[in-house]
Amino acid sequence: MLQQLANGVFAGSIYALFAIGFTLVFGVLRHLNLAHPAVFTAGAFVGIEVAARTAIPVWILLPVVALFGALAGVLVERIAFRPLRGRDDEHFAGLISSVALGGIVIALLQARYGTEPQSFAMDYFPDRLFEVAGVRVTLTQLVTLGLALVLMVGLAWLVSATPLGRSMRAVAENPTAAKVLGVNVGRVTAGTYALSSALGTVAGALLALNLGQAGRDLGASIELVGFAVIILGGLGSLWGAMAAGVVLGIAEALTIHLFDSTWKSMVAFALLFAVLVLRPRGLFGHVKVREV
Amino acid sequence: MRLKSTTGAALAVAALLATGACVSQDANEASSDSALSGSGAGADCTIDETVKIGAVFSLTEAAAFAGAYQQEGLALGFEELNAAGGITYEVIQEDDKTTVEDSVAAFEKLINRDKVSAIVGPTLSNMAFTTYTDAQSAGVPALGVSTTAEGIPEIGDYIFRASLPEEVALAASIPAAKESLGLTKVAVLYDSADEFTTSAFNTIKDVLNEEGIEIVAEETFETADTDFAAQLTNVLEAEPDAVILSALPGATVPLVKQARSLGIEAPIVGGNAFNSPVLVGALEDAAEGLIVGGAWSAAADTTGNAEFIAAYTEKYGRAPDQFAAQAYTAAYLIDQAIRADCDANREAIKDNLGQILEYDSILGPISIDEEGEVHQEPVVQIVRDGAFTLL
Repeated sequence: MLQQLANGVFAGSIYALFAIGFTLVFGVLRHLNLAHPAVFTAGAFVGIEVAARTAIPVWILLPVVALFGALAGVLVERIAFRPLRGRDDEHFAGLISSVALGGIVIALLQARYGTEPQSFAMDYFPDRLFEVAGVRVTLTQLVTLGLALVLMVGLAWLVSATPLGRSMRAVAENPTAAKVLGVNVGRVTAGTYALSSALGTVAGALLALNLGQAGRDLGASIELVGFAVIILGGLGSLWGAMAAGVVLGIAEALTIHLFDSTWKSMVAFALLFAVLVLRPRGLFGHVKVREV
Repeated sequence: MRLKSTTGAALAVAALLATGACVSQDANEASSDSALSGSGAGADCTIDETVKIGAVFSLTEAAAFAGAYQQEGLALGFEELNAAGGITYEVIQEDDKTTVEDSVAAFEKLINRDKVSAIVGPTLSNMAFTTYTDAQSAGVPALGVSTTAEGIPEIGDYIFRASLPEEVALAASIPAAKESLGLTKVAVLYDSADEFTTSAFNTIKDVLNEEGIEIVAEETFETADTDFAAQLTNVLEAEPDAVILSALPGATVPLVKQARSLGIEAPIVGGNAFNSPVLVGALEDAAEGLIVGGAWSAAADTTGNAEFIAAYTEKYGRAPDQFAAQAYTAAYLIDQAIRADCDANREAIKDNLGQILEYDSILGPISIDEEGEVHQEPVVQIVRDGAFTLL
């Protein structure tokens, strides 16, 4: 039982990492960036390729992946969202164009890596098994959880205490007013996407490290759960996404432990439904839906 | 056909009616082409006109892991047959993108536009259930090389398969594993969202019962799952002597890797999905000790197997897997069926495919009965030092 709780927390930390990148963009810019799962997948593939080519250790690899993610994020904004800015249907059109861009990214991944899943070399990150109070955890799981916590706390600090964070909150509150007050909205937008995608790609690479391999459907497999996490946590809420990720991870693990994996999705989405009915703003959503 | 005597008479009448229907349909088609029947017999048969063979495989999307190998194996087989002379084959390759719609469109094109003599494929049983009814009603023989689901040959008399069902492969590997490892209790893990693996699971349970092996954990997952920690924790707690796994290739690699990294050291017994050098390559050390039942083994000393592996590896730069081997065999089976009467018309191929008896292939002696079902001995292998060896 304790082991299953631990399993849930590890799975949940990946969900949370995926979801905070997604929810950050929504919170600040009200954009639903549906290219996020594709960027997440790209992060896994890029991580695997860089690891295979350069054999750099994992603590250098992840920043490299994050850098790639930041660039990808800026491109996503330039290609899928910026050309549509100012249109009446800006948000809806952006949603569609980001779906299209996501499809293009996946097709590019297929062109470069083929259809077979890619894996990290077995000895790339030698895994060790620890046993703490009867709970078995692998080194990869510990690293994942630790990194997820560091990244989340780091992001929360960045948003609350830095000039970029202040500008982001200003834009989230009212973009026009922020512009009048001298905030460079274009730069904040690009910065938000860069951060969001950097988190997404790192989450992708971490998931690939945990699973042992990555296929082109890596993002699609987590997409729906990721969205559930965002809604569950309160759309746009960072802390909510983190907590909801863990809640969903644990709910899934316990379902498998007590019933059967067939019920996994049902329990997860029943939970989502219940939250929507009982607390429409999500676990951590405030009256004001938008926040950072 | 195994029929109960009480219903036998009624079914016999139905069968007669069905046969009658087929005959009249065939007469409508009247696609017999005298240029496709040649002179000579068997190895000396020569047919002047190029014989067109359709191939429908999933070359992209979900089932591409199999389709790409099948395309290559089939192409190699027909290439060798063309070099041998007498009959010239042209393979018209279609990609069904792992969707039923594209599969149906591909069959339609091959049957009506290209007017092929026979079709090999599709990759997945899900698609075969739809496309084979089209092939049946058009009177085009279809030979499946990986369509292992129950009920496929029963679609009609034009439908054949040279693909060993998962349950047969797994059923053979369990007694072999019991004998060599002394199993008394096992954990069973299977993909409950897939027809093929679920039906294999039912067979596994029966075989385990017969062998007197206790099931201490029974866990399921779904095809798209990527994280198996929760199921594997249950398996770990049950302390089985071995883990029996029925999964598609997509889930197999992460599942085995996660099992090993969570500390499950018991041998893992699997079916067709394990039978690939790609899988063993991807698993690296985690592959050690996997026990695999399948239709073909790189280590088997069957007729022409070593030559096939050498030719395939040279041509494509990678080692063949079971999918490639079965597709390669399909080329030879079709050739056998054509040479039997030296006739490449659809009707003749249909008549002769069901007569293949103990044909000496790289899969070992293989037979196809009149119902279209394949008969062959499964092989059981174990991974030792990163390579398949026969158990």
